Amino acid sequence: MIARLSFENSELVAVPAVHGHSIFAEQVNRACQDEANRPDAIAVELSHDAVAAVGSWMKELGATQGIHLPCMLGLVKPNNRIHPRHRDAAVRLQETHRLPLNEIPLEVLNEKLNYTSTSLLCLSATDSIIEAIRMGVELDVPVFGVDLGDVANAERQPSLIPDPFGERTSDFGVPDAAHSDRVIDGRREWTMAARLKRILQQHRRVLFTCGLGHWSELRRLLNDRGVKPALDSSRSEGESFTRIVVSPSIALRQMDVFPDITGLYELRRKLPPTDANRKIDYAALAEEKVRVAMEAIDGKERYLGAAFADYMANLGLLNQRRAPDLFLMLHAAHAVISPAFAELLGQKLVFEACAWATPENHSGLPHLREWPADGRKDEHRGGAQRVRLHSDKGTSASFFLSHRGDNSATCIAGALPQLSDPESDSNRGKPTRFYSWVWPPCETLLFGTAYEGAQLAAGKSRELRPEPFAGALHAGVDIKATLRAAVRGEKRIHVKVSSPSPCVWEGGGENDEPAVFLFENESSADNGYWETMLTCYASDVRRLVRDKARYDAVAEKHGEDFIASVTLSTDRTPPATLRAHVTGLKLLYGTVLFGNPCLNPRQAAQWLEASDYARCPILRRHSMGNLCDYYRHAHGIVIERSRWTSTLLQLALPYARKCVMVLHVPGYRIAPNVAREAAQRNIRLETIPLSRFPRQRIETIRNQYLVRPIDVDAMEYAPELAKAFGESATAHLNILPEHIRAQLEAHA
Amino acid sequence: METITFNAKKVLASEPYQPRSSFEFVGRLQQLKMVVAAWMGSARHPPLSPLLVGDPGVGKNRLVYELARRANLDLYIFQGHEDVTAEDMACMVRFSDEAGKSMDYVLSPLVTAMQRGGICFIDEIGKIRPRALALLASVLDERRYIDSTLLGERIHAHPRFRFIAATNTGETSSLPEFVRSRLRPVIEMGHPPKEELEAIIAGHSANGPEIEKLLETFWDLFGESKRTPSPRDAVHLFALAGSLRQVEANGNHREGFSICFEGGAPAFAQGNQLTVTPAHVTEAFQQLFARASA
Repeated sequence: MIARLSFENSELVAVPAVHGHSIFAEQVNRACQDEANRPDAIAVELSHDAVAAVGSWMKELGATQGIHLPCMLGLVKPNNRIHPRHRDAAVRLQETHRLPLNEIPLEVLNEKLNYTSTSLLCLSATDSIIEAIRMGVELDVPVFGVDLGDVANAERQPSLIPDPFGERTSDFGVPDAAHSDRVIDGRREWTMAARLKRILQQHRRVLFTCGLGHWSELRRLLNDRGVKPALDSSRSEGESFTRIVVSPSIALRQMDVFPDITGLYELRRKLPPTDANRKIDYAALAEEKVRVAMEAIDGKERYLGAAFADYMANLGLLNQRRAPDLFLMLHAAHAVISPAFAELLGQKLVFEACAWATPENHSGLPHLREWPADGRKDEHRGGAQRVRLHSDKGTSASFFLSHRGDNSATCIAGALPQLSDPESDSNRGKPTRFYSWVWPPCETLLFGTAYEGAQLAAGKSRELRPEPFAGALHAGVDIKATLRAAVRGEKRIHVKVSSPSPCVWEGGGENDEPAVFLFENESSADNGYWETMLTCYASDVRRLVRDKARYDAVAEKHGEDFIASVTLSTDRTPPATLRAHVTGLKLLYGTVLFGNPCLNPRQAAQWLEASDYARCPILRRHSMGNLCDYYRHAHGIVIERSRWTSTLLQLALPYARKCVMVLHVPGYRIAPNVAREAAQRNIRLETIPLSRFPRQRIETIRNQYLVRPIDVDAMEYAPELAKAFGESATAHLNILPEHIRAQLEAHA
Repeated sequence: METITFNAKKVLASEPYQPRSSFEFVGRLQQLKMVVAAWMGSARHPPLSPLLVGDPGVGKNRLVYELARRANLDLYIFQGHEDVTAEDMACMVRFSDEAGKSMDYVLSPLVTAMQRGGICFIDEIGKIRPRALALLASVLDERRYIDSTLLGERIHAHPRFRFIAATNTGETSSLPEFVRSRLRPVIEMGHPPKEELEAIIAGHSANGPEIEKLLETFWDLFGESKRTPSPRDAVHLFALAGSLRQVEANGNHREGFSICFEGGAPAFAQGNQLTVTPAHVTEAFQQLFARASA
């Protein structure tokens, strides 16, 4: 796996590598540890600035003392370039938007120009390039970054390339490599070859590692006398990098086939090169993972174990892998056993397998996390990951990420199950917006609309409907219906029958019923993300309830995250006039409200206690994934997250007594499976189209402004807020029913 | 219809479906591999029976046609609907066309595929009532046979027999547990990536280098309407745009025109050979989608 090229007075020791795979990192380590043939310079396929940034951070982390690299740290830098292929499209885009490119939303730039604003380089211990820089730091050997830094993302098609060594390069088969993008890669390879020639003039033995896909062309260029040595062995392009902590779901793209290989590799890289234990037995490791997976299968699903193992093995064969990797295993778990099992397995193989770095143990570095956090992927957006940076100062807007050395082409891209990152401990129970509350008039209007919907439904259900005569005359013979039946050829008399008792949707205390709002059609909520909204802080609930022993018993048994509502929404930029006063703006696509409004912690605590904590889901750690698990186990409902409208209705069903109010866009039809599930639970779904309400009101309730109160109980808001919104925090209370108003008055 | 003999009983076999699409299959390599991996089986386990789940128009059926083509096996399609009965799954009877014979037995596509060693594809399986699916249980587990009460026979599956079913997203939960637990793996078919959809459009269009402008119009129209286009949407849109171009070329769009199907091919097939402009795409979009959602 090591190629040696001899030049006049020097030798190039090359390790063409698959990014992130420890086999290649081990080759680099072995070459550097060989004292007789140790390189006196190292070169890598990174820019000068990237090598400098990685090297200096490694020194600070204590690489010279041989400590383990935390998993996972990374460096991000802005991307400035757009691929030349999109030049015409970029011009047209500016004409259409009448804006310069830098003012066009990133989402549009990504979709139209395949532009990602940020590039990520993980300090992945199992990557040959990172290992090479690390060895340079440890051995005090100069490391050169010979690649260009400021280049556009190459656009490549995944494909198989011939193994440059004429043999299988690893225990798990020749991996997919990337088809070259001549426009981008050609320029980079030419530069790397020229710079390597320069370094080879200055050093006797040079170790070089790069992506396997570049090696054939690089070797050709290195042997081409027409390619002259560069004037500089590397050159700064003024790139600036930001240090970050990378969450697991993002880091996996730059790691080995299973994340715990990182830990194994850290231990083995210190062994002498001749030690037989250095080699990681991938086949045995994969077998162990399969065993772990099989043991994790629930008793009821154990009969699927053989099918799971066979399917995984067959899929491995078709993907030219001798053993499954993490992605393949999670896909097989999802497809053959269940989505819940895949999530459980993901937890075991990813989150429990490594001691993942957190911002808390790295001086509060910004935390890069996937967005939306529940792993929903945008349609038609190729492989770019959408992420956000979280720090003490707040959360950045979402942006698109390209990976330096992305190995995801080798996995079952597009078929991955959900893999949501857990909250870090410091964020536990404190989601970004938790300090903020929805501006009370928004919330009041939302609930008020649900109450009005219930009244409309009650009026609707008082209407008489025709039914075939079956012994009782009810409200008398329906002449028209009988005639219509006769025309159809039916010889049956029809009578007028009143509907069952109307939906008593009162809300509050013991009478609460859930309400579902669907503001968009199924296909119109492209960029939405799920959020589970808490009633308030658990500590506040405990502080405010009367019976603390009962609260403690509930918390012990179920958890302390009381879910008030679940929303599918997207972030919006607040209008300029409000920007200084609000902490965010969400546009709702849909929501399920579990009962009582929770305008402040006092009201929330009162509702929870009055309903004996039985009218809303309670989780130990709130997230959409955990909520779905909870429904599966507690209520026997498999939440269908692929259809968000059905998801919201399914979430409402177990907490309904008699009915669920469904306020929906015109034309919406309840999915048959949801209707069936409701019927089985004897729950009526009362539907009212949103067109029955003024359009202005619907627009207002969809836009949820997040604001900060000035007291812990969210009873008071700064007067400037009322001025900016043009209404007081107590606006619209008159549309709430009397008993809800009474709750608020009791707290005033 | 061909005849098969079971213990001296002559029964008619279902006809295999011959997909007619002349357009090249694009993308979906991972899903193809997943189905093949499921069908490979092993020494200890019979081939699995995958369930394709996806929104209408994403290409579930097209994937199955491509699998049949690549596997070089006959494809027998059973269309699911609410009126399917359990016995329809195995064998039906009909009044005979033959003189002197009152009834004919007709084998279902499922049993014909089992008997001949082809692929049985149950489309829209989620629309079949649970009790009608009862006979599938023995077909989809290691028994691999089906009992037909009408025929009074037990039919064992040919070693080459393979099974696949498809249903729309949201209808999986209407499948009874005894069938759902046997339909594994569940292969989710999302909307194809942008590049794949563009390749499908390019394959259906005669515009050549000018396709870029049409694609831009296409994405703008769907982007503005907040609708995610499926491959079916794209194919229909460009077929209609081609027809509009054809009508325009004939100059009879104002006076009205007569529809002419030559050699069995609809008129718009010829329209595709003319250069379609963004205006045709926009008009086709208005007719197909904007009016439908209004």
